[in-house]
Amino acid sequence: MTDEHDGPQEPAEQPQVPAAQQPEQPGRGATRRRSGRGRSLRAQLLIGLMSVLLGLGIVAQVRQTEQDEFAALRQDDLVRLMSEVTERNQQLTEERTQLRRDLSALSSGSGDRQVAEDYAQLQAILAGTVPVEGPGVVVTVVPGDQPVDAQRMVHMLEEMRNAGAEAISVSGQRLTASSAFVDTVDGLQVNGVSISAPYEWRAIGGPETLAVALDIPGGAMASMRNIGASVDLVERDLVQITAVRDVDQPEHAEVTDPED
Amino acid sequence: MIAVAGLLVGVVLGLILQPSVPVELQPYLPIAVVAALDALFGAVRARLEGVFDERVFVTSFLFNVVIAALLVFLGDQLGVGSQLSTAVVVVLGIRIFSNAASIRRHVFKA
Repeated sequence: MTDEHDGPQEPAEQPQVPAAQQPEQPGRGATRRRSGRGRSLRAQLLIGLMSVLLGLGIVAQVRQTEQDEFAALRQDDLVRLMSEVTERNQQLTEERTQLRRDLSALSSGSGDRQVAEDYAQLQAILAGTVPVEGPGVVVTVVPGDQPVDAQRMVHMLEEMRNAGAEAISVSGQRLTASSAFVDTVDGLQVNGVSISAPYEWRAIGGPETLAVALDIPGGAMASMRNIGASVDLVERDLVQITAVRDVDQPEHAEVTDPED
Repeated sequence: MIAVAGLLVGVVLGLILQPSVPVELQPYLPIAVVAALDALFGAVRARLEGVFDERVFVTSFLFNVVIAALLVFLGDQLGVGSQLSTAVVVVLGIRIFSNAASIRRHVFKA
């Protein structure tokens, strides 16, 4: 690098060369100058060619750099960058997989639980194992001279069910699918428990539907009135049925797969 | 003059031909370009000082370019390629600056 044209030694060197070479090649400096045109033409062509190459190189490099931000990076930098990117990619892929799993677990889990809860609630209401409340009617039956028999009570129950009552109780006894009214010498029994007058029916359902259904001519209330009982129906926005029933484990029935 | 013309022709040619740099040469081209620029600035300075010699210019140009590329290549082989290319760029940059300073002194007399 020291013998370059542009080096600091150059001005000192230049005069030395002819001086040193003078004895061996006396005419060198002069020859060069004399044949300056031919030499100069060739040299100038060479210089021009090199400049062209330099321009080409600059343009190519600039374009390369613009094209690709990684072009200027060295191989080991690129390798490191690539391994970093690969690692990051792997991490993100794992994270994505984990999140997908979480998402599906959460959505299906909550869905299952929700459905199961709804179903359990429905079953509990139908089986009468939970206290319930809602709009409905309260019917008070005060028997007259004649006692109200089981048949009329069943009639009342059926009318209520037909009118869409979702939960029914009478005098603190929850009425479900397995409930039964029985006439005994001591009076009326329901669910195996004696109840006495006045009988208070509570039914949760559409109050107006229930009221109309129970009050139709020849209906449940009419048949009670026929035997001298006084029947009083009140529609309420909130009827609470706190009576519950214990459900025995089924002894004979088993769940089967509907496919079979 | 011919150098400037050649440079312009080269730039135009590059823009027209849009050459792509071979992959093996990619690490060395920028260094080679800087080295060539250094040689060019040195030539301009020598011209202004009246000591310009085509032979010296041509050889120094080629030698500079080859040496710079070789240094980078060697650095790559030794695993210090990026550091060594930085070093080469710094050295060439300093030389370009000093050359530019003396060019300025010649041109502007200041």
